[in-house]
Order: sequence, then structure tokens, then C-alpha cells
Amino acid sequence: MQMSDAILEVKNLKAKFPTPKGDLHVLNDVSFDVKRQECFGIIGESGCGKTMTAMAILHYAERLGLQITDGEILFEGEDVLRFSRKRLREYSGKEAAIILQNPMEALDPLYTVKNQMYETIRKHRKVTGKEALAIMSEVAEELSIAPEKLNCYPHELSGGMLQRIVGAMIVICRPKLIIADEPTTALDVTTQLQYLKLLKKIQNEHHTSIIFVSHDIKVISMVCDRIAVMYAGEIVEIAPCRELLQHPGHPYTKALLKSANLDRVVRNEYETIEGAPPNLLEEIHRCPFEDRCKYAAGKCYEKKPQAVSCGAEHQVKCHYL
Amino acid sequence: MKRRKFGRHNKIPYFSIAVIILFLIIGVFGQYIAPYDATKADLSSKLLPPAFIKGGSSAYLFGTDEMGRDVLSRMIAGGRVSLFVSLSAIIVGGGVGTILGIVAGYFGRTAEGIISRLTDASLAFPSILLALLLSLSIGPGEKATIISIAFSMWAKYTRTVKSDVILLKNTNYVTQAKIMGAGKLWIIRKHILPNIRKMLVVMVSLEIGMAIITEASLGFLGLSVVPPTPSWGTMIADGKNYFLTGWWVSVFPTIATVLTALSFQKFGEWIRDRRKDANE
Amino acid sequence: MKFFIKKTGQALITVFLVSIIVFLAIHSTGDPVGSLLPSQYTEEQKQQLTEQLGLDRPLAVQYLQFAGKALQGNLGESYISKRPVSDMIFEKLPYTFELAIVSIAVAFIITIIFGSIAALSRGKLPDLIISNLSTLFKATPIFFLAILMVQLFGVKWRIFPVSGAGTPLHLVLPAGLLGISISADMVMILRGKMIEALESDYVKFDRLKGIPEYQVVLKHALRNSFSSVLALSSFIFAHLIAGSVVMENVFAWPGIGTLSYNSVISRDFPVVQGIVLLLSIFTIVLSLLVDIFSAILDPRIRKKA
Repeated sequence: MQMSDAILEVKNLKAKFPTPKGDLHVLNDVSFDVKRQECFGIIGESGCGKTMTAMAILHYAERLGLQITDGEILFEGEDVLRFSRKRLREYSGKEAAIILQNPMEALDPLYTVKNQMYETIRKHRKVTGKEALAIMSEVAEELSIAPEKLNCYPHELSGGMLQRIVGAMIVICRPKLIIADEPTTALDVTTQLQYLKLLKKIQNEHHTSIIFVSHDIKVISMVCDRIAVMYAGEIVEIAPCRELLQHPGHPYTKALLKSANLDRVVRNEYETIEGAPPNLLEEIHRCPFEDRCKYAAGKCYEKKPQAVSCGAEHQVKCHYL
Repeated sequence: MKRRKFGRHNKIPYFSIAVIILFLIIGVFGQYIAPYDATKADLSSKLLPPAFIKGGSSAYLFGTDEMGRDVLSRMIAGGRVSLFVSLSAIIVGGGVGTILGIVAGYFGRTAEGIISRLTDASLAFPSILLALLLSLSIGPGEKATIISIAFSMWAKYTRTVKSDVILLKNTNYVTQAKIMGAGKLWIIRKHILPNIRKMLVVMVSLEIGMAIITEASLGFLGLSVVPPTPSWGTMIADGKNYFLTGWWVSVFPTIATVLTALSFQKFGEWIRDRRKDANE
Repeated sequence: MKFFIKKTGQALITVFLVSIIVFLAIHSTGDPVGSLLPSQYTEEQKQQLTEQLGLDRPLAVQYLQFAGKALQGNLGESYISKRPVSDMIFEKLPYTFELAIVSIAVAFIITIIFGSIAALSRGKLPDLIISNLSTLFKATPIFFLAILMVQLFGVKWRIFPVSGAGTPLHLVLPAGLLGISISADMVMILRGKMIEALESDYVKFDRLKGIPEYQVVLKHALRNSFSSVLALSSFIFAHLIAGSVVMENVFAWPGIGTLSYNSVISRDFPVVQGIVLLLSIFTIVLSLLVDIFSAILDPRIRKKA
């Protein structure tokens, strides 16, 4: 079998979240692929389904109550959604791993950092205790974690340091794909940059792919090669980073970029996106952005736009391009 | 995205509310409802079974005890004792506990240190031990029982209220009020009390059930009301010696205790969950 | 170490406060003399006895005397048997310890097993059964269950001895029942805390790192939730003491509970006072041990102190 250059392909993923008020359609036909050694960004406002997409890729979404109704997630050609329990244990951590948003809560408060790193090493690498300790100090050095920090409990460390340690655990697992779910949102602005550099370093040295989920266009454009814009459970635009910033196609992307534009803030010209995302309790058969879109007309209220190509690797879901 | 907590079905506990209302009616109007005098012995009709089993007489719905007293009438009189004792204990214990909790939480420092040690001391001191002591010094009876139960409860209120007050004290609106020059008492009355009131309602309804059971335990040990006044606990104790020949003497008061305690428990949980839902 | 010293200091203060409570409760109406005198007594006799017992001195002085003697292990003499109270208590103490320790062990085992099962099967049948049973046990007076057991197992079927102590068989009913009754609260607390832990990010992260589920549950979720249960130990021990007095009464267990019950009936002030003092110190010491144990389990507690 020939290996494709995509490590992950998500095809027509649909999922709903049952609630007493009815099903919430959280993911509506999500498709994208992630190439080897690529940093792929997913941006969108909260509740648009980015975290659920990430969890679905890790086969964890069902534990959170999500029902995947259609589509497939191919990891190196294998459908993640059909993994057996045994296959899943190999997959979690070793092939795909996640960095969660809040590092303060990602480590068990009752054990030292060392204990938890050791546990991870013993799970993922068949090594003796001594070798495990050697690996630990090697990784700690690589991510510039001072050795004495390893003997600390999580509550004794800063958020930046904890996120670094989470990074170290990921490095230990040596996954082929890292999903970073808003990894810098809980950090100080000054630590954010350091952490992004660290993430890039891990990516380059270990040849991993990264899916970087964020709501912050600035952060995401700093690290990502390609970016997908998500809105109301759909990917409305995918483009290489530079292309997206310079020639945004979808009205939502344009609005997003405008609202994040610092120059305008200096000139006291704020741009906000009026209105709120649509109610996901009903299935949407029109353009989901229709009621907030300046350009909406005719077709937008009648049917869902299909993805249209506009330039190399640039796809937009909009009727009026 | 946080996991959404849907599907907590919070049905109104009609049955529990009915039991509680019945309990209140019996407690207040019991003496007018009871078919017989609860303390009148009649040795000619002793240990009669309840009306609905063989050998029972329709005159005594729940049968009679070893001295020929009507079990139903005694249960009604006992319910009155339960209601009176548990309510008084909660008012005394909850009241003292809340005041100390506010003092400890709001004024902090020395007051908090002293009150914390006091709560520790009281938590290390089971109500039953105080009841033992008081039954000697002031004699067994409702007063001793109320003091013992109240004593076993106040510390819980103090702890909970204290931690809530500390949280409230540091909220922006209290800080704002302070900056605007509000006095301590005013802040307590205007901002602190209304906020802890709902929590207190939940605690009280969860605790009444416990108070009823504690009263029954003390009654069982003979540390509560003095015979011949009945209480559910003493009735269960009376029945233990002829359980095989007259099970009804202790079983009915037990059912009454369990039902009442459970109902208050469910009712309290319902209020608590309703509050939680409203907050979400 | 600092934590240990601080906790011990606090425990000593608590003991001091408890001794004051005990002293005041006994002397609050303070006419122990009346019950000791013959039914017809002269004022002179009363005066003499009051002086003899030292009851005519100010309360503070009386307290200091009481505390001083108690520190030397002298809890006074029984009014009835005229024996030293400490001897009478220490004779019975092993029985009460036996009952208490076995009961608390039973309670912890039940809590860990059923609390975890309920949390892991949240909303499903096992959880519903466990949750409802524990609510029911919480609302049922333990002494009624005890009476029921005595009648069924002791009188009717004669499976277990229901009176006295000595063999392990004697322990089954009282310790089993007391353990169940204490665990009723704890099971629900453990369940709640464990559900919280299972939804936490660190459990999510552990699972997504590929740590096996049994290790996630036992090493991380259970230990985190169990340390929260231990934080409520003082309630548990108060429950334990109250329960063991009741249990000793029903099962004629020759421990301190029975002694205290008999002493109350015979109005033997010094004995009751001594028992109450010792039992509360016992509770304080147990709580101290648990505090230390939870600090070993949870590093955050060590830091807070």
C-alpha cells in the first residue's frame, strides 16, 4: 500500500450531542486532511465544534457524550472510529496525543511530576527503571525543564512550566500527531510565545504533525502552515496561512481578521461581528453565516454552499465569491 | 468545551412533600386527631395485633403495646415530640452556628482561630456523649435532647457558612460596597445574609431528617423524653423485648422515622438541585 | 514535620476545650450530691459531703483540680463501686476498640468498593441500586436494624451469637451493621468525588496518553476521591462513637458503651465524666491520625497548613 502524504484525513464527519431539548448538531460535514510534518490550524469561536473535532480524532468524543452519525477519520489510512479497544490503547498517546487547554488541571495533583512522567515512559517504551530515568532527564533537558522541578507537585509549579511538562510527556510518547487544544490560552502573554517556539521545536525535531486549535488568529498564524476556519460545526474556509491572511475568501474569515486587526484598534475603528451563531438544535439547510453576513442574498437563505476552490489549496464555502 | 450536564431529571418529590405535610399536621394538631390517650394503659387489651391482620381489632388500627396502649395514638404523640425536638434543635444549633460562621468568616483572624478550635472540639464530641452528661446534670427530657442535638449541629453550620462568607467577602460587589463606605453590619445584612439564606434552607431540610434519627437514637437509649411520654425511639426500644410476638410495636414507629427522615432528605436534595440548575 | 507539630498542637487545644465542655456539662446544674445522700438527710450531712467532694469551691478551682488529676490518669472514684474510674474504663476499653476498629475497617472497605462501582456505572443500574440503598440506610435508625438482626439471626435462626463478646463470630453482627451504617454517608461522598475526578482533565490526559484504564481508576481517580472522603473524618468518628454506644446496648457488648449506659442509670457521675472525656479524646486522636494520613496522601494539604 502506498502511503499518502496525509497522516490524517477527516471525511464528511457529522456528529450530534443529545440534550433534553433535542439533538445539538455540533459537527456538520467536517472534512480536512493533515499532511505529514505539517502544522494545521483550526480557528473558530467557542462552541463552533473545534474541541469536539479534536476529541473525535482521538476517539474520545463518545466518552463525552457525542454521537458520531456519519463520516470517517482515517489515520494513516485506518479508520479511527472503528478501532478495537486494543488498537485504541496503542493509538492513544503513541500515535496521536493531545495537549489540553489548562495545564493546571492536566496533571494529577497527588503525584510528583517525576512519578507521572515515569508512568508515561513505562507505558510507552519497553525500558528498565534506570533507562526510564535517563530518558526523563534527557527530555527535561531538551525542553529546558530544570531537574529539580521534576520532584515538585503540580500545584507548586507555574502554568508555563506545567505546560512545558505536558509537552515533555508528549515528547516521551513520540506521537506522529499532536493535537494542541488552545495550549496557550491559559498562559501569560509572555509565556505564550516561548511555548509556541517550544511546540515548533518539538515538531521539527521529532517530525510530528500538529493540529493547533485556537480562537486566536494571531497565535494560530504564528505557528500554522495551513488554517481551517470553523463556524457552526462546519469548516467554511481552508487555506495556507499566508493566503488566508492576505486573501480571505469567506465573509466570516474577513470579519474575523478585521476584528483582530491591531492597527484599526489604534485608530479607534473597532470591527465586531454582530449577532450570534445559529441555533444548532435544528439542522441547518442554508448558509450558517447568513444572518450575520453583510453580503447575504437570495441563494444564501435557500441552500448550503458547497466548497469552492479559489487558488492553490484554498477552498471556501460561500455562494458569492 | 465543558461537558454539558443534561438530563438531571429533577422531579418534584410529591410523595415526600405529602409525608412532610402529614408530619407537620400530626405534630401540631396531633392531640385532636389521636383516637386514644397515648399514656393510658389497659392491661385487658395488651399486645393486640394491628387491625389489618388476623386477630386484630378495628378499634386499634396499629394494634396495642405490652401495656395495652394504642400504638397509633402513641405514634402521633411521638411524632409531636420528634417535630418539636428536631425543629428546636435546628433553630438553636443552626442559629448559633450561622452567627458564629458569619463572625468567623467576616471578621477572620482571632475570631476565626477561636471559633475553628471550638468547631473542632464540638465535632470531636458526639451528641450522644453530651446527652449522657446532660441526662445526669439536668436530667433526661426534651431540654437535654434539644441541647445535645443542637450541639452536634452548630459546627457544621459554622463551617459551611464561614467558607461561604469568605467567598462572598471577596466578591467584587462587597468590595465595591466597602469602597463606597458601607458599614460592616450593613454589608452583612444586605449582601451576606441574602446569599447564604438559600444554602441554609437546603442545610436545614437535609438536617431535620438527621435530627429526627438522632432523637430516636437518644430515645432508644432512654436519654430523651421520660416515660410514659412516648417518642418513636422509646417505642422501638419498648418493642424490642417482644419483637417476635408483637412486631408492630416497634415496626410502625420505625417506618414513621424512616419515612419522615427520607422525605426531608429527598426534599432537601430537590431544593439543592433546583438551586444548582438555576445557577447553571 | 511542621504540619505534624501544628496538627498535634491543634489537637491538644481541642482536648483542652473538650475537657471544659465535659466539666461544665456535668456541673451546669451541679447537684450530684442530692443523688448520693440517703433519702432523708440533714443539712449538715449535705454540707459535709459537698465539702468532701470539693464542690463548695469556685468552678475554676474545681476545674483545675479535675484537670490536674485527669492528667495524672486519676479520673476519680466511682460513687457506686468505689473503684478508680480509670480501672473500670481500661478494663472495658479493649472491647470497644475491637468493635470500633473492625467497624471502621468494614466501613472503609464498603465505601471503596461500592463508591467506586457507583461512580463508574453512573446512571446505570448498579449506581441506582447503590445510591438508593445508601439513602435508605442513612434514614433507617441503626438500632432498629440491630434489633431485627438479633431477632432473626440470634433468636429465630441461631446463626450468630447476639450477646457478649469474645469470638470473631460475636463481632459479625454489631461490627457489620455499624460499618454499613457509617459507610452510608461515605459511599455517596466517594461516588460524587470520584465522578468529579473521572471528568477531570488529568484523567482525560492520562487516558489520552494511553495509560490503561485500571491504572487510571485505581491510581488517579480513586486516590484523589478517597482523600476528599478522609477530610470528613471527624463526622465519621462522631458517628462511630454514637453508633457503638447503641450497638453495645443492643448486643450486650461488654464495652464502654454499656458501662456508660449503666452508669447513667445509677447516676454515677465520675464514671460518666471519665468515659465521655476518654471517648472524646479517642475521637480527637483518631481524627489527628486521619489528618496525618490525608497529608501523606495529598501534598496540597501539607502545604496549606
